[in-house]
Amino acid sequence: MNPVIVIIGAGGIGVAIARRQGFGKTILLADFSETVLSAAADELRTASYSVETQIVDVSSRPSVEALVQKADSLGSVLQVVNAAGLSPNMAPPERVLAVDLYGSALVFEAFGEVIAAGGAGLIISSMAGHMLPPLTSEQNQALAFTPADELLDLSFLRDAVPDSMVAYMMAKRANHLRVQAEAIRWGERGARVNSISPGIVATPLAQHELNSPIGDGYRAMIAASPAKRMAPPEEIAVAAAYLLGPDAGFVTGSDLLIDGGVIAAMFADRLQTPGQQAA
Amino acid sequence: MGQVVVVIGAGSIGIAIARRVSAGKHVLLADLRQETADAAAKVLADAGFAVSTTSVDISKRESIEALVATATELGDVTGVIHAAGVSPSQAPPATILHVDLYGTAVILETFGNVIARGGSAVVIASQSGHRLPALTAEQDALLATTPADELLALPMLQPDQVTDPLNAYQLSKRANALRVKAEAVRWGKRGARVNTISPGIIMTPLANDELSGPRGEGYRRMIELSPAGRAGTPDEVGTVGALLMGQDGAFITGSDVLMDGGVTASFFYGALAPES
Repeated sequence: MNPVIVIIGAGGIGVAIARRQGFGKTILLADFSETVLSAAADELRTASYSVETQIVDVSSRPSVEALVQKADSLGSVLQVVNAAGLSPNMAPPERVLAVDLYGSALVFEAFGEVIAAGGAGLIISSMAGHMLPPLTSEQNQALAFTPADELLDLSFLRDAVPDSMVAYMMAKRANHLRVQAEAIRWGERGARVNSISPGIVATPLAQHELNSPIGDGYRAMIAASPAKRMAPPEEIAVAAAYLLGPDAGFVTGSDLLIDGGVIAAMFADRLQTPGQQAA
Repeated sequence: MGQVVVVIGAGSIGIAIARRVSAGKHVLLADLRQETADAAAKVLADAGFAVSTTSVDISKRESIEALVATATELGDVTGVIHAAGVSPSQAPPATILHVDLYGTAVILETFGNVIARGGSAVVIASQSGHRLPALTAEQDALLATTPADELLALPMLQPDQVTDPLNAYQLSKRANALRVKAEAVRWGKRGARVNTISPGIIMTPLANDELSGPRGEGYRRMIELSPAGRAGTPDEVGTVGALLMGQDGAFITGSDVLMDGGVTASFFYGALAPES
């Protein structure tokens, strides 16, 4: 039986990782949208990948647990990639926190029960997690270690998140912290867990944002960054292949920022940091 | 029990591949000379690798079988790097055939009986295997599939047929790639893969000796007239080894990767072509 790679989120990055990583494995592809899921699965099957699909809502515990069960029934769960998420202009703050913060915690918690020895997990976080000013060590501890189902009750998440952008930055910072905490638990099973924080990746989602009211902000980021361009999803897949594979055997609980230098440009005051006033 | 990578021949190329693929695994280093294995093991151990050593004479079946036994006692054998051999300037034709051709066949046969599912081996052949004119289909099949212990009795390998060390070396290296092709079928049944790398001039201590020795001029000419215009480094072979042995190489088996900076291309179709 081939090992299983679970890809949650059948968007540009998830599919690029599936293509780079999925040969010789069973790909369990999951997405919130039936349309997105079946189109991506067809594309992969045409290229001869072995693909199973399941609809998932990462903000629902029963839905995530059903996905874990399905993955486990297909074979040894060797790799789990969570590329699902809502961007700040897609949803109100509560939904952003439910999907990007609670949902990610849930996926790590649930798959941490079945991940194979030698396996690896990866969350696609965001450079937005690097934009937030430092949190207090109590807040860091709380985001890292609070049981998933109690996370959204933390007072600084319930009462101090003014808009979707801050919710997004907070969720993506929480991904980094959660990865550190889960590295301990996954390590006990001989598995590793890391995050990637991409900048602007040329996906349909990014195109949507470039054409939205925040499009000018995106264009300013690209212009002020050292790379002066967006990344194709394949560049993220190369980094994912490294972090998921044996070359990264010593890398766990880590975050890899791949943003063409946007965060560096913000640090150098060549760009305004979004949400700075609010935080 | 953990995973074991067996390295046969503790020279620069074998070590470069081992360094690329052995983090978190146990390296069993085997060389004809125990002190060569021990010296290489110290370098690896100082770099954080888990290593043990043994000596092996790959011209002897019992010695190879003892190595296989030592390896399987250490854990699951998931990798085999065969980089041992004698070069044309080191030995007479019979010895070259015994070590490079017969020894390699026995290594592939015996490790093919214990290799772990998902495991992979690379055999270091040489660009020399690509210099030899084409053999007949029958000769190819004989070199690929004759049982190892009957190989050296083949009429085509007798002293009246193989008259000089270079010819013995070229034949052995051609046979390595053929043998790997045949073994890929058998290894595949265990869910394992096996491939050949045919390097050109790689800068090792041995190559440096050659460059300053009597054949140095010929080597320098080969390097200068090749498309790459330089020699290769062991680390570049390490990169190809890592591709072939790792997940990214999962569809590659029974294959031979020539990496010689284009010397072979130049030999057939360029400035290195022999005057006819």
